[in-house]
Amino acid sequence: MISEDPVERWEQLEDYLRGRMEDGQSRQLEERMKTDTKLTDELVSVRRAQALLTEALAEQQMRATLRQIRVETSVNTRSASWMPVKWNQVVLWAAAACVLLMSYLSIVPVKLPDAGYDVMALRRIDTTQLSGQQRIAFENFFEGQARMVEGDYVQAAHHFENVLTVEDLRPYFKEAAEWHLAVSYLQSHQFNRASQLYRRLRYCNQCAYEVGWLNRRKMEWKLFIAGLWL
Amino acid sequence: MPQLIPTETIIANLRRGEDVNGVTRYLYATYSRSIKGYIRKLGGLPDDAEDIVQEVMITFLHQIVNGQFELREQTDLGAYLIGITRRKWLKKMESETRRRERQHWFATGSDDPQTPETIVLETDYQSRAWAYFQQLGETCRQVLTAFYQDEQSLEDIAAQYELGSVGAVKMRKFRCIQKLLKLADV
Repeated sequence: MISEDPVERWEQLEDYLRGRMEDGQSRQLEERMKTDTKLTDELVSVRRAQALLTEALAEQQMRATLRQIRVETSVNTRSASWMPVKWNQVVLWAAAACVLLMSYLSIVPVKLPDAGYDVMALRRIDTTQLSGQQRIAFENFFEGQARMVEGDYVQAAHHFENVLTVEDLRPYFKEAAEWHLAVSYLQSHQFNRASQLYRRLRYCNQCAYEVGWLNRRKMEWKLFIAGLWL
Repeated sequence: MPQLIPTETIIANLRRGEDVNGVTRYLYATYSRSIKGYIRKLGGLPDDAEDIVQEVMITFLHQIVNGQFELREQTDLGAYLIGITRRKWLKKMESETRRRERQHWFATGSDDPQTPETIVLETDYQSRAWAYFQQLGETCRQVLTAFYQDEQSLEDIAAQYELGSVGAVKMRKFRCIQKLLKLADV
């Protein structure tokens, strides 16, 4: 039954357009519309109102969502804008630290542990009675160290080479002499020799003469830099 | 990357006003970057780009609702939105130029160069429906939104907005719609 009340009739027409009206009532409405032009006009109005509302509500939703996205984006941008500043600072500090480290490794000389007074340099010896060879080793070692202090690395290298000609050196003393020789080579610009010797020292399995991590890095860095110029 | 929504679904949803929030977020996530990039290439500032993105989305909605957008087999939604973006940007530039010209003419005492054509060109298309809807009272907007968009029952609406009875909600809804139709027919 089609209502005579305009409000109720509007509800019925909406139900009809939305397909929510019962079949019988739909047929009745359609029959009535054939003769009732006022009812047909009302249906046109309902259809128009629904189209307007669909568009208006869709736009309202879209605008609200876009507003929300804008808020979210600006929050993200604000927090993101902090990130580059932080990362910039981190990168800057890291770069500065790298430059400092590289400068330190390049400038500060390799410092070897003191082996000057190790009188147990040779095996099976009586320290009070050094043989001629043993004395040569000791003298050359100390002479080499003295040359290093004076900055005469060519001569220093020569003395350490003499040390290593002596047979039956205790590993500790031998390694100490080799390290000193490697540094002397490096300082006297004999980079290939320094590099070869260091490679051997670097991969020793049971090092008797222990050189610290930092001094090894200094050695490696200096050899790396030297390698760039070769 | 958001999950791919087929263009057919986007159009169907916007046309029926369903899941507008989800579709809008999808469109924004998928196409806003290229739209903003395009605007920046044309010399726009980030704020311009953000404004244009929003206008492009709204215009796209209007075109779908008004049947101006036709989905063809080869339709590339991204390219289509860039097309809207280009028109929006040109219109904005034209409007800016005219505004400066008007300021110049005003300063020099010349006649306003606006013609009916330029006024039409400057008047960006706005959804009449939304504009009319905004002119309704707050309760009207709330009731209509609750019923048609949120699909709340008449009973719930009566309780939520303290309208008394279901009959009162029907009456309010009816009057609000009549007012909307009246605004639209003027």
